[in-house]
Amino acid sequence: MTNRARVSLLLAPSLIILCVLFFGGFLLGIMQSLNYMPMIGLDSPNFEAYKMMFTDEQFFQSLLLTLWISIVTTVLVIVLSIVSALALRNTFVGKRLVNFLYQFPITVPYVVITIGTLFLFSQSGSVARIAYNMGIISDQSMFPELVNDKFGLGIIFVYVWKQVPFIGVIVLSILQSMGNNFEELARSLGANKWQSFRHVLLPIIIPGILPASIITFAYTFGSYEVPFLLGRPYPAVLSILAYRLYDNVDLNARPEAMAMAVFMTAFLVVLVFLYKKLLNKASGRD
Amino acid sequence: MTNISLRNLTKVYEGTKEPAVENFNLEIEPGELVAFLGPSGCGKTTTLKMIAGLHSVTGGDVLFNGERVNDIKPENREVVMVYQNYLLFPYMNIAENVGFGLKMRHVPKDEIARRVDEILKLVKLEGYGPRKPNQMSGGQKQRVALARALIIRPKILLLDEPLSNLDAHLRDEMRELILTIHKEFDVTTVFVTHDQEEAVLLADRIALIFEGKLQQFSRSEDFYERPASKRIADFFGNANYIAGEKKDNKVATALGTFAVREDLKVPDGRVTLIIRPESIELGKNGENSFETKIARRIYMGTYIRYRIDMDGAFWDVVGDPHYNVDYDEDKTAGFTLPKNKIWLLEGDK
Repeated sequence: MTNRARVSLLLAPSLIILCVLFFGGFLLGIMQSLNYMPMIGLDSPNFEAYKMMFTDEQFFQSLLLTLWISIVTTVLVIVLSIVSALALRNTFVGKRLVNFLYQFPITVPYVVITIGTLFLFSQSGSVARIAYNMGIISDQSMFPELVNDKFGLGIIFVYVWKQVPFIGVIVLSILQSMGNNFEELARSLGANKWQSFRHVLLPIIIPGILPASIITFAYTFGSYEVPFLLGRPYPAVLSILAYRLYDNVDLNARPEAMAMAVFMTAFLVVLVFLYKKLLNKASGRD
Repeated sequence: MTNISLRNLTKVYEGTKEPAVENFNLEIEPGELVAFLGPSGCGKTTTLKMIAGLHSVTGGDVLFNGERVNDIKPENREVVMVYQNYLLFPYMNIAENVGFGLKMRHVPKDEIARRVDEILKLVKLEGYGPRKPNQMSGGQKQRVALARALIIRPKILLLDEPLSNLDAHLRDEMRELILTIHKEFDVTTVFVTHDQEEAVLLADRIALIFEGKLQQFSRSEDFYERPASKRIADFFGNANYIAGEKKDNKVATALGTFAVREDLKVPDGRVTLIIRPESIELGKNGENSFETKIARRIYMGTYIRYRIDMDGAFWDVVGDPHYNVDYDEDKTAGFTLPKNKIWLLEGDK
């Protein structure tokens, strides 16, 4: 057996599952988004569902909210992971404990931290109650809206809490593998601390961070359970809006749901392509 | 030109008890080329980094031209370090790498471009500006690293094992370049090496460091002819030793009494007599001559090496490179210890 044949054979099980479940499902989704559902009598494909989607104000509000949450989360995660990794690079007393606590969120399931956030930070939650009992607020309704709020603060908090250690660990390993020499060199060449971070550390870290931040963005953009529990019913993020249409008793709403799902996938594919271009540029391969 | 003074310089790293550098005292003259020589982990790079301000000082002082610089930030010291592994910024091209220090000083772009071209010419890399570091060879990278350091006209140039990543041919080339640059820029230069040959070939003076302590700071000849300890003598090639009792200008040993120079400042008493294998003359030539058995005769290609029996211990002797004199194994032969080549250390341990 040739090497190529052996590799193909070894990859076959996972490729079959991927092709059937992902591409098969995706193809079915595209067909439904094009109003092609013969079992309910829709047998002439057209772009009606896409037209409806792009003229639906609710869709744009959901898109805006989804983008807001995804962008703010990604930016915060990148900034905080770099800052925390820079701090963790130093030697200090209790570093092992801090390291453990830092990486702890990676092991906590999303649903646990989401419900925890709800219990802690809602207006009827523990923090609001403590603030009320301590006399900081005169009524629990005066506690700021941190969950189920219009800016998706609770959602962003959960994503950031979960994702910072994930990217932080990547940044930390990059920093540890490069050592201090580049920074020291920059300082001896006349760069101050900020300049050495801006012109030396950041360009070295970025190629490592970009792929991880794509994952953060893509996950945040398409995630369902966190905004379902911590978001407002209106406007809802795209994944919830699409699911609502999918779950509608009227099967005629399904093509629009599928159009949204296809749009989200296409959006992420384009994004990944642009990120890859950027990554190549950052690593000097262009 | 800048003078460097290190006064009781000490460095203890966090979490360690043993100092990496301990009570280091040194005066480097303006424009001098000095080597910090020693085995790995002896504290030579730590000392270099304390001079650069990249590592804080635990105790003692670093002075430039008599002025204490302990609290001056590295970017304000005008001391540049060149690293063993070049450390060219991989995402910048060669011109950007070389111009980095000027950019940090907010020098106008056209001025940077002009000076980059000038310095690349000096290091024989004219026209290489647009290339990326991964398109350069090891030797070229090292020249870029040197150019990047020199473009800002530093007061002090620090080189951390500058030749250790280069092959033999490139080492010679780079050695020449360092000497040329040192002469042309007239900059006080300190380089770190674990290779004594490299130190001898390049440096005006050598600071030999063991376990964070300065052992000897002198011209390279002194390490061969006047080592401060047996360990130093061994670090700089082979040496033969014999214990004895010094009285007046003679040393009585188990093999006889040897006359030594009058100017050796070693008090009378127990001493160790040191002589290099290449300093022992073949044949009995008057004073300090003796006869002994040739225990082994080893053909080394360009010369013969003898192991001679010195009352139970064995000494190495480098034979005549022209083979005019050649002794056979197990035969007795005559040797002479030239008076001016004998060095004494106090004590016989």
